[in-house]
Amino acid sequence: MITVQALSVERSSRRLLHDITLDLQPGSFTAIIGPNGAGKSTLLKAITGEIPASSGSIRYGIEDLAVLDARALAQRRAVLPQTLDVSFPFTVLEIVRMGAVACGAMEPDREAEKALIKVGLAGFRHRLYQTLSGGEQQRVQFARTLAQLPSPTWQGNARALFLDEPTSSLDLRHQIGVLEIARRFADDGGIVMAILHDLNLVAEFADQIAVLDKGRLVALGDRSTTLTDSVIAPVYGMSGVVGRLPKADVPFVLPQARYR
Amino acid sequence: MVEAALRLLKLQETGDRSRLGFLTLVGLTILLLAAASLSLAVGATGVNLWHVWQYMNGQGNSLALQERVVLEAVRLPRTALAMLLGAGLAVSGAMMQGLFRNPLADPGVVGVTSGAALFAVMGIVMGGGPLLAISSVLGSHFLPSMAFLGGLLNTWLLYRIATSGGQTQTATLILSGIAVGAISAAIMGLLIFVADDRQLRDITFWSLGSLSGASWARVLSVLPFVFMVVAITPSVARGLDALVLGDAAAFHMGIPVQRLKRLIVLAVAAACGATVAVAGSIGFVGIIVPHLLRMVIGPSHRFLLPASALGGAVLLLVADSVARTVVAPAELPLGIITALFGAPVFLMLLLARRASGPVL
Repeated sequence: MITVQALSVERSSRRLLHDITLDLQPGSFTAIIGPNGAGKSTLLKAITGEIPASSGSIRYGIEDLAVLDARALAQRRAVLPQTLDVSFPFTVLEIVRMGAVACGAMEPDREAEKALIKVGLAGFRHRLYQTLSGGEQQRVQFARTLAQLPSPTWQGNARALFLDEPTSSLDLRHQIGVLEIARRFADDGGIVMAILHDLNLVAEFADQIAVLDKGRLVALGDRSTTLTDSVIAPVYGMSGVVGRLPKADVPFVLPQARYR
Repeated sequence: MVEAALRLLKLQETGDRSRLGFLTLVGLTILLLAAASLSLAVGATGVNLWHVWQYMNGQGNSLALQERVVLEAVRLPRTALAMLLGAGLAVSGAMMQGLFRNPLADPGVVGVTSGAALFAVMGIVMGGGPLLAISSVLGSHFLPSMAFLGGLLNTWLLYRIATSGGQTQTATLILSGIAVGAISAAIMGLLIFVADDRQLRDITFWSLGSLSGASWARVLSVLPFVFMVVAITPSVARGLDALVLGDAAAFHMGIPVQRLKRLIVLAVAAACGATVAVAGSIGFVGIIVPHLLRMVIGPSHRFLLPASALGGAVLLLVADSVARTVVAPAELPLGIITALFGAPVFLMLLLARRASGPVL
């Protein structure tokens, strides 16, 4: 379990996060939602150890984040960043293999191959990263992240998968594909935390939703308590968008309707 | 032969270039032996490959005294020095390019070399005046020590300017490198302005880069620095690979990013300072060699760094052999030859990058 207790983050005397408290339970998929500039990425960076907390504490199991070095952290969590430029011509396999090597895999090539099959890029291993489309690059990075966490638990502790807008460059089918893999990682006992903008996907995949606004946690809970008009309306400045159909002549696309 | 080539091609399809990297290392080792023999066998005197062969086989006694002296006191140290400097320059170039995530980055570009050069010129101009006390104590070690100090000073300055809150931004580093290099060049201009004719000749000759002063003492003075840079390659290779994906991604993959950067900056400064000290500025080796190797074995530092060490040694051995023979019995400054090879490669790289987006 990852515990965040009274976390605040300040940068050049500006408070980016105020007093955030939340738990990431093994087996759970937590979505962070909120408008631009709400502090979603800052929260993700603080929990993954990329930036220091100004006050409060973050614990991985019983260990304080501050005492874990880069190598120890790499065993416990992996992070999918938004977009990545790669300045040298690495092949897809070479990039995904870096994730496997980071967790100390005995056979990094096999782990990389397994991760590529999971994201549906099995035939792409020899392609140069720069020649791929934005969506393919994002899936390669997702495979690298998965290769770093070959199992959802490790030495009795849940491993954590952090995703920063994992669906931003993906088409509808691959958006769902990526989130299904993350969901399965959580169902197998791992921890998933993702920044997502598509609230329909959030409603389908997340079992804990953290709503951020101006650096504060304004709501935390499952979809029945957070995805309501009374929470969403003040945060996004738009009312009447939850659970209503548009005018009869406007078509709409709801991915979660496919299971009806 | 055909079967082996097919196997290689298949490996290419799997996206794994490890085998190719290994084969390249083997090939470069053979090339290095050939280049070293060439370097030992050519020169102004009549000592040739047959004499080298006899000497290597323990039949040195059958050689004339003059031939043995040429081999032991002139050719061997010169060959050793060329290998060491080539390896040090190419590896530190490859490391800097990985550090800055930019194939154009080079110790010469970010001002490390110009710092070393500035202090060396300072040594030449002021060695007889204000710095007389120090120069008379250090004797022949005076100029090397000055150059080394200048390389370290500029690297330290660069690090102080471009690093804030423990983070080094690549663009800031390159731009500050240019600024630091410009300041060094300006001060060097002032020094050249006040220099007398004899000092000017020294400066000019030294700044063109040459191995003509090779001696065992010089070999020993650069050996520890080059050894250090080459010795850390296995421990920094994975970190440099991860760094290509950015500071954050490297940290997420368990790399202690700031420690890695400090180690590389220090190693590069030491290697460049030592190189400039004994041979003047020899440009472009750090750019050509890693660039050509990346085209063959890919950018993974696990093979790129050791292959650069070997390739740099080969390149400098060949360049120095050319420098000694084309206008024999005189010799061309080595820096001119590496620049003639290297500047076009640099330009090619620039144009290729311009075609595919922003240069930096």
